[in-house]
Amino acid sequence: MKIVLSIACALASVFGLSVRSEAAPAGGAPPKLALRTSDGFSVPQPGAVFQFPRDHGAHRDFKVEWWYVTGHCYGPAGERYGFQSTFFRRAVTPLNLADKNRGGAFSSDEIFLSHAAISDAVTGRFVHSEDLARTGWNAGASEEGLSVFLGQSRLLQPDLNAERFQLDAKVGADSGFSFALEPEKRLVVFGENGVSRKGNSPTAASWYLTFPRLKLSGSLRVGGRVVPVVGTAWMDHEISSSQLASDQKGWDWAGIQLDDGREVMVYRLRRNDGSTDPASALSWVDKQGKATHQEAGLFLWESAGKWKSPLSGAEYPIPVKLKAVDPESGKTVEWVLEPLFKEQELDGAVSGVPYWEGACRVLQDGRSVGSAYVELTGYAGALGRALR
Amino acid sequence: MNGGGVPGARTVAGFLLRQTTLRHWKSQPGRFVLLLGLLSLGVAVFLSMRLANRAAVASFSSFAGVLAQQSDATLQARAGTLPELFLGRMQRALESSGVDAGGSVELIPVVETVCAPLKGGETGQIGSGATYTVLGLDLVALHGLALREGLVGGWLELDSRKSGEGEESGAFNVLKRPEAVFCSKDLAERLNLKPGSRLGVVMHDRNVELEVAGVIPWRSDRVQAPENLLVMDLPALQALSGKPGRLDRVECVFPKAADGGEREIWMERLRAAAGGDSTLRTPESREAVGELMTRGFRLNLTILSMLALLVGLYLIFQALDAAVVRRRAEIGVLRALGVRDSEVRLAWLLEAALLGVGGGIVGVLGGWGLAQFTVRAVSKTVNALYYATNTRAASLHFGEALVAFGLAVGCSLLAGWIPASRAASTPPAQLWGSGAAAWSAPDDRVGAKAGFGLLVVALALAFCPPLTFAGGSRFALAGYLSALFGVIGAGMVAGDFLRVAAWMSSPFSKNSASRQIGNSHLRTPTSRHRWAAAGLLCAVSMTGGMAVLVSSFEKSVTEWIGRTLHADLYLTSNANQAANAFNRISPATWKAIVSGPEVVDWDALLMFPVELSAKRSAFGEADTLGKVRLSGVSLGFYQRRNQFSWVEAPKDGAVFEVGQNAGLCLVSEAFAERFHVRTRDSLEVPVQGGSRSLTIAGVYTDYGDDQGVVMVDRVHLQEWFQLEEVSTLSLVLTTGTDGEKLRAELKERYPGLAVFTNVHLRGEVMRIFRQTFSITYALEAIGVLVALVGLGITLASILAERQSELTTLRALGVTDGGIAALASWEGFVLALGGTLGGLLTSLALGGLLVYVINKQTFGWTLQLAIPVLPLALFGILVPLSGAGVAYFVGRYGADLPADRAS
Repeated sequence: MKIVLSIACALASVFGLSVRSEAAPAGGAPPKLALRTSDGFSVPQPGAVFQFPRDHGAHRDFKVEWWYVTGHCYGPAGERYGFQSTFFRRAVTPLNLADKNRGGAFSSDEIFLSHAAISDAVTGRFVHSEDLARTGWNAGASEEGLSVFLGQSRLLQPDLNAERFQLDAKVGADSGFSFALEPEKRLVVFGENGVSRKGNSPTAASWYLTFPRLKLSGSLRVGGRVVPVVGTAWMDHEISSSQLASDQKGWDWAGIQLDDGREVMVYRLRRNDGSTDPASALSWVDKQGKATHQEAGLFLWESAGKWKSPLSGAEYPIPVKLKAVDPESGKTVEWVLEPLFKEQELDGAVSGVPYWEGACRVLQDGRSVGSAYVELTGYAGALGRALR
Repeated sequence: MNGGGVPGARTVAGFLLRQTTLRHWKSQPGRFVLLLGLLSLGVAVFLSMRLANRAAVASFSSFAGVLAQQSDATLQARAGTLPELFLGRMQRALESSGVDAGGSVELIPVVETVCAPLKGGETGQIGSGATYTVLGLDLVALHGLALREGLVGGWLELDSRKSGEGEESGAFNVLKRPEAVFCSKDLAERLNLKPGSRLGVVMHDRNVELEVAGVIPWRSDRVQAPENLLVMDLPALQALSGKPGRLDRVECVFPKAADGGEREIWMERLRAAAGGDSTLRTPESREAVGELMTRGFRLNLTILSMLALLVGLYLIFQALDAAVVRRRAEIGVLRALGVRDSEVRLAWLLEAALLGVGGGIVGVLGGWGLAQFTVRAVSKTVNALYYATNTRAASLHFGEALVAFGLAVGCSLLAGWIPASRAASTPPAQLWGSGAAAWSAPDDRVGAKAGFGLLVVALALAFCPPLTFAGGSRFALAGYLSALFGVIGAGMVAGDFLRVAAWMSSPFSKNSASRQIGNSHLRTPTSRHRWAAAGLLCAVSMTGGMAVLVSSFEKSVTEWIGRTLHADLYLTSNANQAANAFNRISPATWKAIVSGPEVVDWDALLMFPVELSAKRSAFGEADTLGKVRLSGVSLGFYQRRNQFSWVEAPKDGAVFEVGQNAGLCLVSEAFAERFHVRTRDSLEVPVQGGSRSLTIAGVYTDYGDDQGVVMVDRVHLQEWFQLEEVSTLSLVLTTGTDGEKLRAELKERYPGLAVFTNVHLRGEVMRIFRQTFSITYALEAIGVLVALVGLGITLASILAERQSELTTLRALGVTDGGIAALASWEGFVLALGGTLGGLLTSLALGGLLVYVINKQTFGWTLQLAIPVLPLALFGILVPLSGAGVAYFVGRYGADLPADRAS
């Protein structure tokens, strides 16, 4: 889901996207991608057959794409940290409309945005940063496999024959992390028939590829102090061209890693009138990596408290109470997603979209049953300020 | 007398100040105001030149700080431009070296060019048109920086209007439009530019229409963007300025927390990562380059601006000295009443200091005001000779104002010291005696001897070498000291010139009693006469000396262009309005032009600024780099057209043959002087991506550049820089071709080009040359004006001292007119003496300027030319003006009541 939805939403409103259905021009995008946005970008279609490592890389026929890694890690003394690193790619010009001067060190074809954050549970310190760059010398993404970078932050698959990843992120002037990531569970494709729907509009959809559990090892630097860490990560790759409808105000999202070896991905799309959009969804991933999808009516996302940001003034509904039907037992389970600490808001200095994204404990009947990363957007004013 | 009950020196001095100085000033406000005015004029002129210089040099510094973050260092190619790949290389090298250091260096790539506003019509004056400095910056990165820095507005939000049916509007439109440009707030207001307005400019040989996308974001606590600054998206400017894939420089911003030691570490890392083909400079050293380039020019202006102050120094001295004489009886009474020597001295010094403070305050304010005018003149010259600057205003710099104020007080105290000592040390009995002659006698001989001594020192200093600084820059310190000592020394022997003038004028005085009386005063001149003559001598000699320099320059330059400009038509970009504007003519254009049927022969010049290794400086600093110009011409064409004026001619013709001259070069005289090289020496010259070893085949004269030029055959230069463009084009036309007609045709066909006929270009060269000296003429005129007013003050005080003599003359039947005639004659002869001495000194000074100071500063050999007629006219006009001033003073003095003598 991720914050890119807010950016996509804002861009959609700024750029006045509409949909037109037509045959793709000869020699342009793959023939199966018949649906295009009014500005010529492809729209994710059901039944796509993904090929890896190529599909870990960039999809230039689509307007918006992001790679997102969050996780929970621990230092030698058991000190706990949360982290987030997201790379957004936003195409300015569709591939098939690109001019002959495409490419180079300062291409105007794509913009990259990166967000990175570290949550230090011991000190309650939250460091975060945002960077913006055009594709070229300082940012880019490979189409051959996973290799995306912005400045000194990067996410890549060092060996295209081995499904292992390397994440390096710079967070402000004196913090950052460098992790080796190895999937502990196979890749999951969320959504019906490979398409994750985000609204009624034919274009409001994405391809949503996730490694719900990866083994993490490496080092983390907070305030100049380097700490060796191990832990568990979650990695998303989402591809889209337009997702949100104009009546959607924002959304809440969570990636939950349960101690019993299962995961849950959930998003609630919020309408302007406060109701939940039917396109909202929850997915269970079992121990074998098989996903089970549940529609909006089968789960309940509620606020279990409030926290008002002193920076943006936004009031976030955190902690979160989540009720869902466990597909294995058929019983309803109720969790509280409680933040390690509440001050985990990214100020949106560059993107213009403040949002809350932080590490949480998952509590069931007062006891910890897992870890989660929660994202709360659309609580700090209009999303139309995506790129100020 | 020195008992404990006597108030302290300061208390008494304060009492004396109130009862004597202020009382006298109140009774003669005109005299006080005039003196204050002259001192403040001197200070104002000095300060205005300093402020104007500062403003013009400041415009050389980087604009990056205005736009985003203050750059900590700048990376530039030693020759040409940097490839874009350089950025990736730097990024990787810095990552591998800086991971543990925390933070990282932000790299801000920059493309920069100078263009001119689009103006139709005839080719105007070179260097007189406005220019825009256009920065190409990555607007996406800059947008992020601007937001993080809290600037008002970002770069990508400013363009939110629809640009066409069916087209997207919004933030990224600016990236899609290659003609989108951001302008300064001031320019937008002046030209009423709004988003969507068109702004026509000349870039290279093309007229380009830019579209205003918005105003450069700003923050109230930051320096505002200069009016002539335009900003475009980097790839758009790369394409427009013909630099695809190339960068002019990379600004580097260190982590904010980096302290002095860490900055040094980052500098070292950058240096290591960048390699040898590029140079790394801090903003300070970058600014120093601008200072270095213009140092000679600015020093000349500063020194000339002190002329009025120097003359004012004489003036204050003699005014205070005259006041001591006028108030001698009063001082005598005070001394007799027990006022101590030190108290009298302190009172006089306080008077001098008060004058200095008043003159300093008025001068600083006046200087600031005057600077608003002089800055334009200074900018024009800097623009034509060094680099683009459109500075229109000079701000008041506290340090400069303090220096000017200190100079005013210091000069006043210096000038007041001898009169104060004299007032304090002369016995009361002598103070009550009459006549000023007794006061002048003691220092007459001593002063003359000291003057001769200074002249000898001046002569010795004229043979001393210059100081050498990093980068090959030199400063003719000994030469300037020689000039100063020479002028002061000549001033001190000015009394002898007065005797000569009195002797010369005696044949014209036989039939006039008043003239004979006037002459008699000058045969035994008082100190008052001598100092007035010295002031005038100082002004005349410096003015005359500069006239000799300018005349020598003019003669040399005229002969030089006569030898070197032989083509019929010259073409360059209309945008080349500044010396550092490197707009070029595209291959398609210049090839089409030279293949015209009217062209019988042609040459093209291609030039680049490059950084050379310099010799170790006199102060033992580490080797630094010096900026010079690398030019490529057809050396064969130059030889065919006899366009060289040699300092050291080549031994054979190899350098003129393309097949043999790949490793050869010619260097200008300024280059040879700056880097101490001669024929057959070898140079390592940086070129695009490497360097070339060249042997100097000859040294030629070039008055168009004082930084130094290395000239090679254009064929090789184009190959080394992989560039087909040229900077200028010279055409020799077939016999019978109407040059003016062809010029008009070319102008119409290529509106982005400036086309000059031979006559027009020669005229332009001479105009720029004269423009360079235009400020000096104004400064000299002010110096002479101050000296003439000083002459008037001197005569007024002399007449005041001679009240008994005037009373006697009136008793003998001499009318007021007769007394005025007497004063007029005395003033004429006094001015004649000062002028004669000044003219003689000016010849020596002129020689010093031409052979020593100019040579050491600019490295140019000039032919000495004496401007006989102007100097003769000057020699006549100054004494006549002296006579005129003195006449009016005489009228005033004749009416003076006896009590005003005290």
